[in-house]
Amino acid sequence: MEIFNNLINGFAVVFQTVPVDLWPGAGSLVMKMPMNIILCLIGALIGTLIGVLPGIGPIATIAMLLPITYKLDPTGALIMLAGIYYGAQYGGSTTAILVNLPGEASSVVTALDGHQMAKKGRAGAALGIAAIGSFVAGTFGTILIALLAVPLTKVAQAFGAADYFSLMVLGLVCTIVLASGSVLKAIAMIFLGLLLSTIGTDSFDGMQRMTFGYAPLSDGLEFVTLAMGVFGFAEILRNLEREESRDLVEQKVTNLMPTKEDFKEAAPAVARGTLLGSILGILPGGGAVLAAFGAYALEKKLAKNPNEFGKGAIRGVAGPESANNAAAQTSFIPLLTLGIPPNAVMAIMVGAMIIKGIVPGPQIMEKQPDLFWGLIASMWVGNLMLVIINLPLIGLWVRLLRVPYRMLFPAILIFCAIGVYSINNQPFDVVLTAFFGLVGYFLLKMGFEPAPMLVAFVLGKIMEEKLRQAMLFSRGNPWVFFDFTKNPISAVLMIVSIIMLILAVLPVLRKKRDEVFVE
Amino acid sequence: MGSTQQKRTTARAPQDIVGGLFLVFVALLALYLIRDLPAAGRVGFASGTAPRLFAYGLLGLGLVITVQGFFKNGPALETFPLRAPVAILGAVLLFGLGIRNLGLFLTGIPMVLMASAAAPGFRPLEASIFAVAITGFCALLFSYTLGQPIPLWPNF
Repeated sequence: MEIFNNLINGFAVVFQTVPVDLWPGAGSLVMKMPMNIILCLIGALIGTLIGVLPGIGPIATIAMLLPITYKLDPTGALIMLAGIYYGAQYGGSTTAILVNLPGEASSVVTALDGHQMAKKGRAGAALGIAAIGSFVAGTFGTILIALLAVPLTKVAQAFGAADYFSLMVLGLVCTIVLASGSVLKAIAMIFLGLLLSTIGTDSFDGMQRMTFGYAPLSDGLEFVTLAMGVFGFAEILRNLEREESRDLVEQKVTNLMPTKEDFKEAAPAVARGTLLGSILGILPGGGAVLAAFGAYALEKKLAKNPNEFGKGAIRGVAGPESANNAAAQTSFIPLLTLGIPPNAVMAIMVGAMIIKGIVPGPQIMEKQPDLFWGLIASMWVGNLMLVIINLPLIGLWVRLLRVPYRMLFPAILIFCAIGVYSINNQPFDVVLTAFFGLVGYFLLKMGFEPAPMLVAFVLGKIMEEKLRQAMLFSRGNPWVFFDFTKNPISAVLMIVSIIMLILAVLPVLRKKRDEVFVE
Repeated sequence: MGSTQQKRTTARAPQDIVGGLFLVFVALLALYLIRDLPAAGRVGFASGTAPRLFAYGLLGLGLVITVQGFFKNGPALETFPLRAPVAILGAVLLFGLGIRNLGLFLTGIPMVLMASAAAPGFRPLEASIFAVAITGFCALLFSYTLGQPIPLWPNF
């Protein structure tokens, strides 16, 4: 069994010890330490922390922590960054249940029933089922990654330039279909992202494109400046507009173990949430947020008396919380096997990988098997640690919630600024981030969702490259992407994309899709 | 809603109109900037092809969104408060422009102070103490512990 060997290899990477110089310079304090597991724990804890704290999400955090990873080896760095994403799914539910305020966008629906449970004195059961559901989902997600990794990588290796281009088109179409709000606006955001990705020196003939003749722009826009500006700073501005009310349930959280009836009620919801989340996580444009919304809608639809929902139904906590964590795991699948980031968090993981000198794509598994399987194994270990340490730490998280936002956001801001500056030691990047913060804030105000723009920006460079290669092979014939005899994969992908796009614009389906978000 | 449900103006979805026009502006700017790049090569694409494709796409979508804004009902424009954007983005600009010459202490502390002023209940004393503390923490973490080449002190 190849998979078992691979996974055992992965666990060995997670638990390996390396000599660490505890006192740089002195030379005598070198100790063997399991660095990867420590980094996994740190990432999971930081993720829980930012998951608990409203107003800061995984994208800004990963961008902020990039400079911290410079000294780490790539495996350790990615293990830590991945931990932030799934850790945030655990932390987000704590705030949602105890404060009725989603700590994370993916926990918005958890607050609906979770907080009602807390008000009835059942906060412990809500927190418990959220953690257990998350762990079950995380385990399933990890297994799914391990199972799909090898076959998907093989598929990806058979891809030619045209197939790759068409696959990315399909990815962007999925992003459009799954984005909330207007389809037209989502498509516009994708074109904006693609356009921004062409800034810089042309890789084929060295021409300067839209650089204003300004040297720092000739390398293209730094991805982190766009992500941090649009997600980090614009989010802060958005948060400052809202009056914040924290409705903290001030009770001692005692019995964390849900009752037998609770389990009976919640177990099917966990299973459904896990499955739905796993699927939505793989799809481009999906991810943890959509998974949680979808799972809640599903539970409500399947319930015998939907009136219970919103009044403390345990299924309304179990389903979404399982779904968001499953999605957080499975969204690594397209990134690791195909090199395509399915959502904005994975897009910033691409940024992190490139800084570390890793090109995302099917070659990772062959060239860096330790990194690949180590990362996958670390996810399961991280999930296990989270479910064990998270519950005893709830008291600490609640105390952290008392840190007022007026102190939190200036701290986030200076961390972000230092993080952006450290990427290239380039002050211009910081200025650019402020500019994108303004643009992102404006776009949000006009009802544009910026996530598709970010994904398109990351895909843009590779897409143009593949497009031009394919056109070169076909001597400029644009129909090469639909040529069933020469590029059958590409033709199928293109036709699927077109059908999906047509369906997305059809009014019947649009109504269905909007219903999910209205909940 | 209240004030937003005023007399029926011709502009039914002001957000879409303003947003759409912004996209049109960006697209036109891009088209202007790439005016000298070749639009097509001998075989297939040249350096100007993809940017033109994307810019024309954006232009078209921006126009459609704008025109749609006159016919389809949509949310009204939100107010644009000045205080928070000026304080937050000004603080970041301050950092970007000052970090290289003034160093972390002389840019970080005023940056945090200025950013703190973005929130409604600004408390000068608390903010000052916090600014010094968090800047010191950042210096400790990034410069000393992580060895990042961030200038700490002014260099003249």
